Amino acid sequence: MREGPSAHNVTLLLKAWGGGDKEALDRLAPVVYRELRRIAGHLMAGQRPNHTLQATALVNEAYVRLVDAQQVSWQDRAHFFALCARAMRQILIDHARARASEKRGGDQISIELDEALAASPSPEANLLELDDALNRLAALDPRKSQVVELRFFGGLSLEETAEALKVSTKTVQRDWDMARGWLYRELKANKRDG
Amino acid sequence: MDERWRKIERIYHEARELDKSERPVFLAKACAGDDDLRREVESLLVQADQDGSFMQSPAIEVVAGALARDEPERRLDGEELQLAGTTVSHYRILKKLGCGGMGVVYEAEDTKLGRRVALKFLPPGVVADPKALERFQREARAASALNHPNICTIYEIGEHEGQPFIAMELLEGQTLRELISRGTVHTPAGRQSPPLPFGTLLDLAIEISDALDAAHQKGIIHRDIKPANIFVTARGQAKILDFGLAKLETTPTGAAVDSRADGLTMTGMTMGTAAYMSPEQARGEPLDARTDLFSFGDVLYEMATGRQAFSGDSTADIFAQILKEEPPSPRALNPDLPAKLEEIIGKCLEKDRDLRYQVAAEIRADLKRLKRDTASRHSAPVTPGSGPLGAGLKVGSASSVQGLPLPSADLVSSDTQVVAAVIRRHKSKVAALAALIAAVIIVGGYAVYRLAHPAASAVGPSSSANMQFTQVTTSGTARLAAISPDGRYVAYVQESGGNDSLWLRQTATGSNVQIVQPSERPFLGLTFSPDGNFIDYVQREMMLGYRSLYQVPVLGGAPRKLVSDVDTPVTFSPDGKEFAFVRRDGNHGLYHLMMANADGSNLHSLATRQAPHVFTAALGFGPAWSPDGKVIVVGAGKTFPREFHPVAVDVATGQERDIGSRQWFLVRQLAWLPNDRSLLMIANDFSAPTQNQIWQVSYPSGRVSRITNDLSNYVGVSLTANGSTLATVKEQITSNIWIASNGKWNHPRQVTFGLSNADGIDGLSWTSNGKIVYTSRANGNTSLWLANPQNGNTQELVQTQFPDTLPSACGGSPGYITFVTSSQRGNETVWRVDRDGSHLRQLTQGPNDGFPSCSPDGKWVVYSLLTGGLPKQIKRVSVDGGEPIEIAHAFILALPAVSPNGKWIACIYRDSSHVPPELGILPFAGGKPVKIFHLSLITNSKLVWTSDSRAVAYTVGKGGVSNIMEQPINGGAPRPLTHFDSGQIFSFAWLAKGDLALARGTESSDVVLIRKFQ
Repeated sequence: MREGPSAHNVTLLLKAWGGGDKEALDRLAPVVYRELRRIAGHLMAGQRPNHTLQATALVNEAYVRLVDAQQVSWQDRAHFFALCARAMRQILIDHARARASEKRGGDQISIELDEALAASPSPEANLLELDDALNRLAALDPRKSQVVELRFFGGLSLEETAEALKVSTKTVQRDWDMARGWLYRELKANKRDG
Repeated sequence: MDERWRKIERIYHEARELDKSERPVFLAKACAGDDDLRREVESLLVQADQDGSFMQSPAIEVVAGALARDEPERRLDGEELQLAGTTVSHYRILKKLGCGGMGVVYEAEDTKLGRRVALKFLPPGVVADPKALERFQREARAASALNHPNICTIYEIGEHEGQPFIAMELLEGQTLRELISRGTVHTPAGRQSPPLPFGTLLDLAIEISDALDAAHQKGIIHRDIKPANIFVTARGQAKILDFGLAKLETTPTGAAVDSRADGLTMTGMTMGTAAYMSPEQARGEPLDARTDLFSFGDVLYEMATGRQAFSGDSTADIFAQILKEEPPSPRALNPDLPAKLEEIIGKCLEKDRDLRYQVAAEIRADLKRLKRDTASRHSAPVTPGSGPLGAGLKVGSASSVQGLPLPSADLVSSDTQVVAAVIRRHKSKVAALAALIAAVIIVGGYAVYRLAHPAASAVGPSSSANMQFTQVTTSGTARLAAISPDGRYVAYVQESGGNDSLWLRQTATGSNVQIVQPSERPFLGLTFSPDGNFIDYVQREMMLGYRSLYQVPVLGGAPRKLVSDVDTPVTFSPDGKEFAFVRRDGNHGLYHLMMANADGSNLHSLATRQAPHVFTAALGFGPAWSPDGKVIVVGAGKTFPREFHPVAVDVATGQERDIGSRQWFLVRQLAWLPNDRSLLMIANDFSAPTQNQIWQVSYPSGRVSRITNDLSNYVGVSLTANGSTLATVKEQITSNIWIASNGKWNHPRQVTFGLSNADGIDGLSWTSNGKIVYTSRANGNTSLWLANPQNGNTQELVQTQFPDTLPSACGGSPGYITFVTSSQRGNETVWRVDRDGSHLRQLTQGPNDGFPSCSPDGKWVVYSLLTGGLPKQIKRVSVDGGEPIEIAHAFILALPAVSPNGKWIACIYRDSSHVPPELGILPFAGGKPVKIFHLSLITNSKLVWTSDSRAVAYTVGKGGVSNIMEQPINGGAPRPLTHFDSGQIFSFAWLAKGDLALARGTESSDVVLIRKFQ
């Protein structure tokens, strides 16, 4: 039903990307983005939010749907997960941005008022701030920012993150810990400044 | 990556390995005098010492709810109609609002004018005939010329790819159809009660008749007046929809409903329409304006009785009735109706149109006369002990108040207005009253009562003279409590430095142990499991907009998350195998009573209400499962018009049954006594709406008796298994008036000395003759008092039946004071009274006017009002009354204060949702702010000008201590003016010569145990 590359094509693109073909990524990324967006929507539609939904489930489902697992190496899989994490970040940030700019009304008034008068940020605003902070962290320490992207946006486990970054689990653990410390401070600082 | 970052990283990880207590020594050594380095590492370690929730859930959870909401719409519209997100003419379509017989309606943005509109597309086929389409457009154009506050305005009639559409006013609220069905749905069986309060009915009816009159005068007939075509906005205003469209409506009889139908084919008319047709319409005769009057009679009949005048199983049945039968007398169905209303309805429903009312203006006149004749009766508060609205007005001096324009008690205030009203007023009491504000956000309708905190005029004795109080905490910052079933432990939430922690106290020994670490994430509820082994608590998620239920072993341990999205404490079934709680789905206006197994599995909804009908939910609220396991009682009610009561929800069927017929201002938490025959309830009576008191309610009869009767607020109630002891949190406010001389701000002297008068917590001001006007509860109700700072004498200035707040003294001769009064239904209006208590006069009509501030010449009163529930507009009104004039409006415009030199208005200003609130300085004449200052700290108070008009001051608070900051308006950073290290400042003001008056005091909330209360 959907346009775009078949599982076969995605697999090829993934392998090509793994082999150093940068253009392959340009073609792959939108497919992953669209697919994740779609799965996210399907998963969540009709369900109570915030319950059974897991980011890993999304990424795994995208993997199963898009990639012929028989044909790809574990490195390709790691690449794919990294790509998914990036796509998820983008999806969520796009969404948060759209939400934040929406004028709210009716029942959402409490949020609006909080924002209006108490400046207590909504989840969306928090997420946007976090995204900003993460960009700053990337400038300071790219790997830590990648760890956060994979863990927080991609929902990957420590082990999967280690696999994607080709570092030890211990390193991921330490990066994750310090990155959270850093981000927490940045977000708090933002809050204090108003 | 630079060297320094590596160094930071190394030291961070080494420090992380150490125990917290060992770190300072280590860091001192490792950083070797490099203070920046040390601070940097320390700042990174802050998070590690938190409770570990930060970023622990993947980001998708943050917006999962929002994504889920958007997605179905996008799919539907994207695939079926390809409209959402697209642009039609100059309208960008945002979302689908609904669909009905007359097509699909979308919310859209007019990209030219930047306003939101409703865009209605007629269903394909209906307008297939070009002649019909042309006539529709002609008629709709005529209708669009109707400019009337009670007719939904049509902005444009256009066409998109052959599909005609109508752009019209976007309304928030509900149709009269929904209002009537909701009004009747919760009425206990066997009790015939009208769906609408009489005052509301009359107001709506007058508006509708006025709209019909205006349309008929222009020669436009509606032809399809029915409850579904009348909208009632969130502000309680009637709006007739779809003028001019009725000719497109169709009938299943095939016979010409309108013989002038110009060849328009008719198919698929709904039964809903047939019931409201006039006899001439049913017969297919030519129509004139009088057909609308008959249909309006049908609508009136239904508003008054909750039943349709004519109904049947088939259109033929209905038509037969319309043509031949008389409907049952409305008063037979609703004996409370005045005979006059029955007469009016009868005259509308005359089958022979020559015997009917001939023009809508006649109906309007009769309705208005009826309103006048019954105004005093029906605007009377419903609780015993309070007189008619006007009768309670009392003036300090002996001046008469006869003939005063009275605020309309029936004016409806929507949740949103109320929330705004509360929030804007309660920044000063955020810490201790956060709970109440949260409650208001959820149940709405709290209005100015919270502002005023009028003390209860004590009515009736407490149920037990032997009642024993034991204070458990003394910190003054306890927020929640629960007692274990065996009474051996009390769990409580302690707030400190903005963080909540959970503690357990052994009642026998008084020893305390912390079982959940301090966290920024506020707690909402605590419940002991029936076996006493666990505490189930509700806590807000970091970064997320919802709260989750956690379980922790009584003596501490790792908390386990059970369920997300929980808005009250849970209550357990008697066997401990299941629990229930209220979940609020704010995005859809739904309130669910949820059930789940004790481990959080098998989560499902037992009963659901839709706003304005709610189950109450917030801090200090909560349902209670009966000891026999059969029912769950929970606070329920509606905000329009306001009434709350406990309901029992059948666990097997989900059916609701009211407990007793008494209505409350608000019903909060419930707890069963062990006998299945009675409950304890935290609720606010209409006679003292700001007092959360503890009551006993018999079940199922609903007979009520008082447990507590004092000036405190009680937050939450929890009982031991044997029902002998209850735990709750008691909140108290002390505030008095102080004066500080110029420059000696930190050394004020005390002027008033009450213990529980709460002097000045709702405002104070200097009068032109050097006295201080302030709010006080000294005589029970919140009213305005005058204090002479020279001799400390105080006297009541004016007292109305309702809370009087936010005094602002004005110059001129003889000098007067403006203030805000709010009626029982939350209608907030600005009044004035002379300095000697005479000449009381209402200046504005409400429903949500506040923060009056006088121009120095005493000619104008500037005030803020709400639009769409938000403070967006500042107006001024002459002190002699008259039409208010807009000064300015913006995305947010709040807390106006006129400078003593009369040139400026300071306000909280927000240009759009993208920017934080700022301090704006507007020219008195209006327009855009000439200066904007970033608020480095969030203000907790009104804005107050210094006497030289050079700076704007506000209070900032932290940890129960507040101080005054001033922002010079010629620039520069805000600077602290006072340096108090204790106490809260509730309000303050400067005298011209520079003396500062302060309302200062403390708020405390502590856990208490109450025994022998029965």
